[in-house]
Amino acid sequence: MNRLLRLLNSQRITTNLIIGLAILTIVVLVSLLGPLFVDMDLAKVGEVPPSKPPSAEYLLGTDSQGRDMLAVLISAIPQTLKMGLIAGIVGVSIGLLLGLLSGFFGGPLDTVIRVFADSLMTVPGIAILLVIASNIESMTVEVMGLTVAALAWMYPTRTIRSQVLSIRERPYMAVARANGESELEVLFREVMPNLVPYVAASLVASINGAILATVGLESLGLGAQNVHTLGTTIYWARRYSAVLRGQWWWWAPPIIVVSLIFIGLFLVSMGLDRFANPALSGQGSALARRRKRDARKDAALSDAAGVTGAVAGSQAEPALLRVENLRVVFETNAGSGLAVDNVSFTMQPGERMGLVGESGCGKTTMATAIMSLVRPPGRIAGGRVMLGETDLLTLSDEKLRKMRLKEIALVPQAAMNSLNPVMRIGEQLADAIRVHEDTLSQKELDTLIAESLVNVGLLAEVANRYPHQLSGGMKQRVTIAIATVLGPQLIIADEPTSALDVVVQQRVMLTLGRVQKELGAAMVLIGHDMGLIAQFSDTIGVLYAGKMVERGDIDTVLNEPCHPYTRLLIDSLPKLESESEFIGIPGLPPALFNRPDGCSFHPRCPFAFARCQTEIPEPQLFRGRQVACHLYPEQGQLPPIPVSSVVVAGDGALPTGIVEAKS
Amino acid sequence: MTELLKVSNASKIFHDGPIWRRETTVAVDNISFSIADDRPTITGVVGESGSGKTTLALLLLGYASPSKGEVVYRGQNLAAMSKQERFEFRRVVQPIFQDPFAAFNPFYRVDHVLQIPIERFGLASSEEEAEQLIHDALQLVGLRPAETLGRFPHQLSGGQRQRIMVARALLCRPQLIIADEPVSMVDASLRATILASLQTLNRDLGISIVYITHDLTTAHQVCDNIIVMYGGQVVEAGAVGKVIRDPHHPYTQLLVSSIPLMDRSKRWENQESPEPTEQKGRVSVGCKFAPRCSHAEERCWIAPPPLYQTDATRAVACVLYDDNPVLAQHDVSGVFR
Repeated sequence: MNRLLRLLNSQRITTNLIIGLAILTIVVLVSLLGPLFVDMDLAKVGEVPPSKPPSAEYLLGTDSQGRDMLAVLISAIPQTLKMGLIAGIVGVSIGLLLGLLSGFFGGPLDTVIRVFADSLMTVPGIAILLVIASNIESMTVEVMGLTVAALAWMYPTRTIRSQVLSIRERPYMAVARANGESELEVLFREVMPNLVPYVAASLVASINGAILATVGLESLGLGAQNVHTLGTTIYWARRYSAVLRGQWWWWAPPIIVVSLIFIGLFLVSMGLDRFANPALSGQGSALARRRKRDARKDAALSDAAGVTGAVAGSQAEPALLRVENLRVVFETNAGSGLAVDNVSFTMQPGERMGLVGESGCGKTTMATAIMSLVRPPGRIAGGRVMLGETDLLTLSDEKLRKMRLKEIALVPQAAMNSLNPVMRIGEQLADAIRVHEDTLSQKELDTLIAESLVNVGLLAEVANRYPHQLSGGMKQRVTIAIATVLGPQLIIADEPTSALDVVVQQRVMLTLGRVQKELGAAMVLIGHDMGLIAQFSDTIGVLYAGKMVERGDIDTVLNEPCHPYTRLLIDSLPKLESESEFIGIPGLPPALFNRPDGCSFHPRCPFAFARCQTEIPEPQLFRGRQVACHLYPEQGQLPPIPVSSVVVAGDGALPTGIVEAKS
Repeated sequence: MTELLKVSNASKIFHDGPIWRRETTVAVDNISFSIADDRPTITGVVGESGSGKTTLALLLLGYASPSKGEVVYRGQNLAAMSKQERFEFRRVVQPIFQDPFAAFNPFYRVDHVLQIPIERFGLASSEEEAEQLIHDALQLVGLRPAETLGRFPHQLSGGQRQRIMVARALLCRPQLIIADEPVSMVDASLRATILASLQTLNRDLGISIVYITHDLTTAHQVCDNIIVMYGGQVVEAGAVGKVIRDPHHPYTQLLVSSIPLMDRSKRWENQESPEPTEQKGRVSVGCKFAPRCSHAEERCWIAPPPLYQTDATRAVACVLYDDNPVLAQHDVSGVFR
């Protein structure tokens, strides 16, 4: 019950689903309640005067055989629905059984089922149905439904099988086995529940397909003879030339009802898709409207912020990159929050800036915002990103596209996903270059590609290879080649080596560092490994909950971290020199939509005091760096961190048991 | 010394590709070591991807069986176990997996993975007892039951989820936990909490742990002994402090020099490039590291070097140390402390 309520409150119930269910409910209600209000005997031949248009007496008119169309329609709907349900339920049941067996147990059974299903799918089902239907003497809706099921079970089988195959490989299967579950239990307790949305969607699609196919056949006169169905009604209308005689009330209503059923089922199946895949939610139109409204509000706000930003900027020396009061908002139905919260900083040409923080602190969002690549549900809500004299946030998409790669380039996190698997490396480089340099001859292009590959420590032949033929380290080198081939002024490297082994990581980083130096480009290096940042940065920026809490020269900050968060990040890295203590940061970064008042870090901070809970600390200059913390300037130096509050507490835990265990 | 789990000359060979172009991969190549039964230890297995460490984990868990050699649990070959014995083994040797997100069935609340083992292994005689067991296990890994139970996996952080997985393993009353990269997908600031709970299990509850990782610093932090693997072979093994602070094998040296240190005076860029060039296209049937090794001699390419015991708590599979005695039976637990 609780579960149901929770579901209703979530965004998984969509307008599609509601409208679809409403349409179907109306159709079903008409067919169920109709007989209470309409005399069903009027559906028989000769009961009423023939060929009357709709009137108060005969709401849908009468046909040329003397039947009341409303009574005909009401008796036809349940028959058609019954046929669809039989076809859908039987077909999907077969599909579920075979798909489960095939996907879960695999082996020869899988091969047999797959070959059988696949070969049946090559047979034109409608044609077979036509042959069968025209050869059965007394066709009933039941036989029709079963025949359709026999010709359509392969589709749900395939859907279910592929889902089972993917679920079977998930690690929670191994966990279930470690928990002592037998194979059958794994099948029923772990696999089956995850199939529910797919089975439901399959069912809806099957019913829909069955109704459409049979209505088609029935309107050719090949349907059940003993009862009215929507299809046979259309057949009789055609047979008695209702169209020629202009008796639209005869043929139009059944077609409209069929359409309604189709649309209803279609909307339900779309709604179920959303249900099975919650990632699709969050693009509602109401949200879009709210976003537009907020955009106007934010524009006004950022104009105001721009004034203070300009003042701050004017004191700085000529910088390569000047980020001023940058704000990025994320909005979903669950709420909205600032992923990047009024961040300002500058970078000099050639500077390497390390950007650190835990996951969810806004590092990657900041990188995408600098490149003006923020995607919904994120949106840049204010501020400026000045590259030289240009504000990147005001440029048109076309101009931005020209800037990227040539002025600002990104080395992405997962090289394996950022290269196109079906294009040779050389072509991918060529594509990137051509956007900006379309006057190069093929020979010049080839030379440039070869040079750029050699420059990142690869052989020129790599141009002829496909991504899957390269190792992870080589792929990451390719992305560095792409990012640097046009000599950008600013390189943004978003955890460029997080997927690589340590040895490869070192070499790739050395290459990236060398290429960046040779270009004289500035580089933002995003990472959560303080060691790597220490190795490769000149300056450091520490992000927490979307705010830049400390920013300064790397040696200054590492030798004497002022913000407690920076200090804890540094301390949580295990040291090799000694058998060190486990030091973690208690608690978690706050959720985007639920930031605490005052300093966002105060709930986790060992030094927090009353002021921290209410007042947001402003960045201030202190001992050669910028720090946003109420401890300064009064506090001369960060005191030693009280052990009890830090060691291994984490996630709101009870530290005692574990701290005792340490000693 | 009695052995809880003993791996004897185990190899795992995978065949891949069509019959006419069958490719053979030796994922684990003649490895022998054992986990002591009389004292709880934490044994680290480190190596880069492709070194065979995950395959080794599967062998230890009985999820895969060795192509050569054997895995023996308390004197009993895993391959020859009855269904009942295997069920007991399943309980005693518990896994913890890398990905704390995918380890949960999204359909269920997190309670599911904690209730099942109690139910299946019959660990509690009543509902209350089961509940108490779950509460105790959660508290032991530093989680508050009230803030954890009844939630869906996506409502918890990666660190919390991984600690639930530790609690799950703990509930089975295991004697050995095989943890395959348990912290590699968790933020650095939260790793400490998970590693600390593993250490609690080891020190307070006497559970032995095999900690598989590519991260030498955390291995150094939690392990007693360590096995360094390369290309499915053991290249160096012994007491953790010794191996990591003073690595002997050229590969271990390379690994250690690749750790990004916070110490700005030891910046890679200021040092001579440690980059050893990939030599030739030659395939080594001997030491797998030969193509990347600057010390490689002709004999390295021909036959794999034996493990030389350089002192009481270290063995190195490298000809540079061939003036030392060969380690008895190739069994690296001979140099464990």
